[in-house]
Amino acid sequence: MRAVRTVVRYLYGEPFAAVGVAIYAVIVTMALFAPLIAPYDPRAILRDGHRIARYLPISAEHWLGTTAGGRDVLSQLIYGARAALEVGLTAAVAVVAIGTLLGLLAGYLGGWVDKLVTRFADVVLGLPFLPFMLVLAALTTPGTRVVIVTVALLLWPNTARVIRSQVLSLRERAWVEAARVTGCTTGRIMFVHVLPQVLPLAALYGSVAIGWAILAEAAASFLGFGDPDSISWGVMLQDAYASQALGRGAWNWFTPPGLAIVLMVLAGFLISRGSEKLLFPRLAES
Amino acid sequence: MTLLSVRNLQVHYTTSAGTVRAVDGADLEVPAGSIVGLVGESGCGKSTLGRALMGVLSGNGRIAGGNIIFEGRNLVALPEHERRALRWRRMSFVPQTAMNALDPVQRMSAQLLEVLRERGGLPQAAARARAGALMQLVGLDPRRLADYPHQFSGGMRQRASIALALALEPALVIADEPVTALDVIVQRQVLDVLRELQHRLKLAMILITHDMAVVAYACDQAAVMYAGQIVESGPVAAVLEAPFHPYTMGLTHAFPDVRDDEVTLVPIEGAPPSLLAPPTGCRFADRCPFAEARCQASPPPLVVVAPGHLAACWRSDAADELRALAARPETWVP
Amino acid sequence: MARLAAERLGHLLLVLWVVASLTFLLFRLMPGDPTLNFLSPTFTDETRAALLKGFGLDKPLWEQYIIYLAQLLHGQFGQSFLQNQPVSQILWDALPNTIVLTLVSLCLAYAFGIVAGAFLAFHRGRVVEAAAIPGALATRAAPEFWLGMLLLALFAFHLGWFPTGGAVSPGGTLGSLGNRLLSGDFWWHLCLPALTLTLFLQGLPLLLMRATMLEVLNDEFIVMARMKGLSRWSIVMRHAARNALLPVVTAFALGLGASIGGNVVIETVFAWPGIGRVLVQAVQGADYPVAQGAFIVIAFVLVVMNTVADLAYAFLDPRVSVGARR
Repeated sequence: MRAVRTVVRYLYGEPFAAVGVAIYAVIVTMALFAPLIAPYDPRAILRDGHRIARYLPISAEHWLGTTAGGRDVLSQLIYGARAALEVGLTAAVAVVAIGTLLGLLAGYLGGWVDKLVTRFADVVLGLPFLPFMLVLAALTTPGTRVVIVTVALLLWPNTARVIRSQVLSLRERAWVEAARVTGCTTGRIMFVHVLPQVLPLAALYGSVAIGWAILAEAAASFLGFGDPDSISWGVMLQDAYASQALGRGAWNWFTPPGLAIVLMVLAGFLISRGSEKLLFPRLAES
Repeated sequence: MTLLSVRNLQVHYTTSAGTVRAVDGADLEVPAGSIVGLVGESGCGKSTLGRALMGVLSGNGRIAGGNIIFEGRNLVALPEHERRALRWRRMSFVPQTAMNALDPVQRMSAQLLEVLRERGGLPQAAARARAGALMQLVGLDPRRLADYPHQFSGGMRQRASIALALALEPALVIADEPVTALDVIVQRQVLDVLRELQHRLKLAMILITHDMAVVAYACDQAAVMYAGQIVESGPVAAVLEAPFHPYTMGLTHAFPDVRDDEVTLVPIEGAPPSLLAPPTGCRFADRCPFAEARCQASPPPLVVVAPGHLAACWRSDAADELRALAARPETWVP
Repeated sequence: MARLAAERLGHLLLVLWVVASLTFLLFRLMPGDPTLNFLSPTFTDETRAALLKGFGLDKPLWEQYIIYLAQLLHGQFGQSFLQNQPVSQILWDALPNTIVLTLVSLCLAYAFGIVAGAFLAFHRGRVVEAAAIPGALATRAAPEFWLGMLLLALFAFHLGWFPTGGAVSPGGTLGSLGNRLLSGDFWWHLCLPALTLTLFLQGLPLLLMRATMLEVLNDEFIVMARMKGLSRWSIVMRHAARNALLPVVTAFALGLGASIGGNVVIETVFAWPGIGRVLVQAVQGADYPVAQGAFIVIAFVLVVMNTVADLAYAFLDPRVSVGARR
């Protein structure tokens, strides 16, 4: 209960964060109630009389018009929220889990564990994101799994770094010393005492990680390495591009999915306070 | 002739906790060619007053009311670009810690030249000559112009700051705790430099300090500040030897004088009121050993109590009595 | 300082080695016949024999690894499956295009971001801030390729001011690097992709510059500068900016490294013949040697620029350099 009050108070003081939460609320609603909200089946090929309803402009029946394949854009947009949340949340949880665990170990245990984790992080930071994802997709199978794995494998260092810093300072606190003296095992101290203290920070990074994951999924889909059967905003954009929607000026088709992505990623930025520090933690540290 | 006249000045800071009324109705007069010591404890608003005079407050601060009449013009009403024109040329500032205030990556020469050329309009050669002269004026070797601030000792840095402040021959120099960070011997030296320069160049000076001894040593006039207001002001001898305000009486008994063999340190118990929500009556009433009912009820005005001497106390007519009582340590024990 | 540089260089070599090894493992350990990663059924017997020998594809894995590293040091990546030329040739051709695109965009983005960030820092609390910050964040939140699509749709298709893709107009050929840089056609084709990338990248320097400026502007000697009545311009340029620029310079170096790899999507949208596009096409066409080579080059640039950023920061920070001098 106290946690909820803290969150509400935080939001009250930070209008930007409140906007971010509002955006997430809308997207989550869209995802949960998609079958109820969407006017059509996103995959259904609709007809306009005898012909397939291709490239229909904005109208009362189709608020965002239709695609080259005769599908309703708005419905796709709404269902796209599901894919976005799935990928986003899964990847974010993975990144935060790995990053927090490694940060905790490195910060608390220090010594060679710390050195190892830091070196490992440096190597991972040397791997370019999109190229790695492409290569992985090519060598295994394309799809959302590759996106999630890539995000989890390559984006944990930033979280780990910050968690590590916090753990380093927490380690010196009196209550940790007290726990040590009373005979708590290292593992217990780390996971029962220290971990809960760093979770809020981890959660903040999680909200940004959701954004990165969605951007990654969009890029993968756009390059043709997404899951072609899923309805995601990235796939919508890829479909539009491949169907020459740009040349046809079908703004109603390719603008909304991009905007949806922007809003969702932006929400993540807004929620995390001090967004500058999150966008480039390497520098914030130095 | 009055060079600077501050009337009912109010300076507010906007904070998350509310509006802090750091200066809340302050009156001050600075005659031309005199040194006024602005004295008070930490947090009384004296530094804020100094910065408000310069017109350079931190981001959340602003002048909320009152007038600052300087050389016949009301600075509060001036637009920013005209204000800027006056800065350093007519009114300059010597900061508390020269180390932080001098640009650490610029040599002294560069810092002096910057002011002389950019604000003084002097050509390169003339500026260089003047920079050397300024250094000599404050008793520093002109050859040290090539050094960086961190290569100077504390006292020398302060002298360098003074040289910087005098660069454009202003009419008024505001010095914010100029000797607080120095040891006693060096304090004397720097104060001597200040006094000599002030006398020679016929400047007016406001010396902001919390140390009564500094005021006693270096100033002509004294102005005592408490909780955002000036509670007493007048010629330094009168204010120190025959104060009319109980706070001043307490201050003059709270500092050791190097000359006396025996001295009783008697602090004034308690703390100043919060400036977020100042009390309605006299602000010193809570700590004042002589407070009466009317003191809590309404604030006393700053009135003339003797020639050239002002004080804000409802009991100023009984000042002789109160002074006698104040001289006894037991008065100050609550 | 020299010790720091040596340490960093050692670190750099270590990371490069690990990245190269990782790539080796990645491509070798995938299910299926590993030699398929190097030999296409379409190769002639001679080519097959040469490659087999050159890369030791018939030898045990660890020997292949040594040979692979040796070949890398010589800049040999094998032969492309789909194009009849060595991989290194393809990479060598494409890399400059990416570098030009990245450098131009980064410079524009940073020039704009620095000025805009400083401006915002100075006008704290005004209305413009409330709009500009979310705006900058939004550009950072947008998928680059979508920004590209928007610009493409507007300026190329709708208005026809710019070409719709590629680096040369139909019928032309891309000459040597020198020729490209001198060709007006090249630059005209560069406009939209560069504009897109600039738009995407400017958010970071803008926000960063603003943040550091705000910190610096509160430093005491800045307050003194205001008291001296120095002009805003003088204060910002001479005193504040010098301190605030430090992290921005570091960010630039980091951004250079990251962009090289991240340009993949921009290059695809605009069909810009850079190394990112080479990678995408190689992956799509299962041209493994090219994919491997492109990946390594991109990773190397990233790692090198990370190290450059570290060194630049240490060098420029007076706390480090002056301390070392004393």
